[in-house]
Amino acid sequence: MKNADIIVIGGGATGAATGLGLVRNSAGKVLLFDEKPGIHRVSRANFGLTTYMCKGLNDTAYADWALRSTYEWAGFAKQLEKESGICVDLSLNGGGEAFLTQEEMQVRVEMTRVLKELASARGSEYPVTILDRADFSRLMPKMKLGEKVVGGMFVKGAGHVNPLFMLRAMRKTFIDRGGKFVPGESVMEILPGKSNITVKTNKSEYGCEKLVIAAGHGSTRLMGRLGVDLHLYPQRGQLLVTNRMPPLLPIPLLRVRQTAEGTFMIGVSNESAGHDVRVTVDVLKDQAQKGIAVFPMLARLMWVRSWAAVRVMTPDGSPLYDTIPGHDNIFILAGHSAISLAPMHAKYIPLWIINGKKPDDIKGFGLGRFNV
Amino acid sequence: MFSSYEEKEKTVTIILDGRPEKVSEGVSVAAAVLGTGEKHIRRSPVTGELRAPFCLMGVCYECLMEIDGEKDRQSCQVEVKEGMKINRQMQVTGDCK
Repeated sequence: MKNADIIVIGGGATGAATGLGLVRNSAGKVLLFDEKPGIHRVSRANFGLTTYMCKGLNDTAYADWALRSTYEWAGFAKQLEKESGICVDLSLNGGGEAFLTQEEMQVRVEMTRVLKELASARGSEYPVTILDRADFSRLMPKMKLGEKVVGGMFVKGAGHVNPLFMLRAMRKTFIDRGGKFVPGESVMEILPGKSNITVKTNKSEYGCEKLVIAAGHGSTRLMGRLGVDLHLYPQRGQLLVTNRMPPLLPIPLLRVRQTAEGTFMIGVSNESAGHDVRVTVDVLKDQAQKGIAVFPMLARLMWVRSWAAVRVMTPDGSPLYDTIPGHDNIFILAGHSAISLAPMHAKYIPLWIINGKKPDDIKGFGLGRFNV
Repeated sequence: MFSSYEEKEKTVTIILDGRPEKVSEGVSVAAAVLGTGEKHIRRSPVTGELRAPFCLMGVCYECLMEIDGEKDRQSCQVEVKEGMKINRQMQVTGDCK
């Protein structure tokens, strides 16, 4: 039996950010488990936006959490880059989306109105502006908009990051600060205990005082064996990547962004397809056509590669942060938007895990809300 | 830098950056150009950095060259042909409008 103070199961964006925060706060001996290669790795497949756009429509606490996280990104990246020596290609010039039809625009106008009202009711803001075609076009002088674009929105303070460099930087810093990264082991069984939890993997057995489960859809399997239903569901997204171009698009849109390396990433699809991570021609075609409808120049680029990944969705879209009923030393962290929320996962979630007192601003993100 | 491990009898002539070059028949454009002694075949459109073919099996997209008037071809995936016009992409152009 190998012992630790805290074990984090899941080395993706959520687990790595939380593990990093734990070692930054001198939480003792912390182990970070990452599954063997071959399983779904949604943290390596995402789009890389850092945004609060359209988040929290039915949950003002989440809208607030996402906005605060976006504002934390600059400081988070600066510290991470300093500690790790890895540039994470963060750009915070704002974000946006183009509207291809009046109906699409009306939906976003209404969403923005509701989110602004919710924000003002809690004494905050939702700094999103709806723009007509001409004003939207001025945000990206080097890109010519397609004829169908009727307008767009600008999301102040949002941005994008290279999620792969970010994950690497978080893991490296975790290790450099004394955390122990344990790759290639699968957790088979968790035996809860008041002061000591046993974690059995396919290779070894570990004991810890506190356990953090941030294993994406893998958490469903682990928690199911303890009789806990997390209510997570899979949602597939597919995207395409083009060859590299000089910097042309200064802000990331929901469906198209240009990376720091120059590639264009295209795609914002949502599908119910179980855990199938294959790409499909019809969805890619639709994504490509809509991308080209926004920016006709995309049609002249090469489609270099594409992939699909399965988002970790909660029923209401807000994150899930809770302890397991009857076990206040087993923490569960799950949900979509692990890139946007990484600063919060590194800064606030570790404090909750260390001192055991759940902060007021995340009290609403518990399991109880799904058991009605 | 590179040389052929097997001297082939048959050659074809390609036009590389406007000059004729005799290269082995049946090889890829990327291999042929490297075989002429060129070390770099393009500049990164983002940083202007000098680049060269890397994986030579169609994955990395580092070997992009203009072949018979078409830019950004994966030169490791194209076989040399007699009279083929190949230009290295050493100019960074940002024209996209």
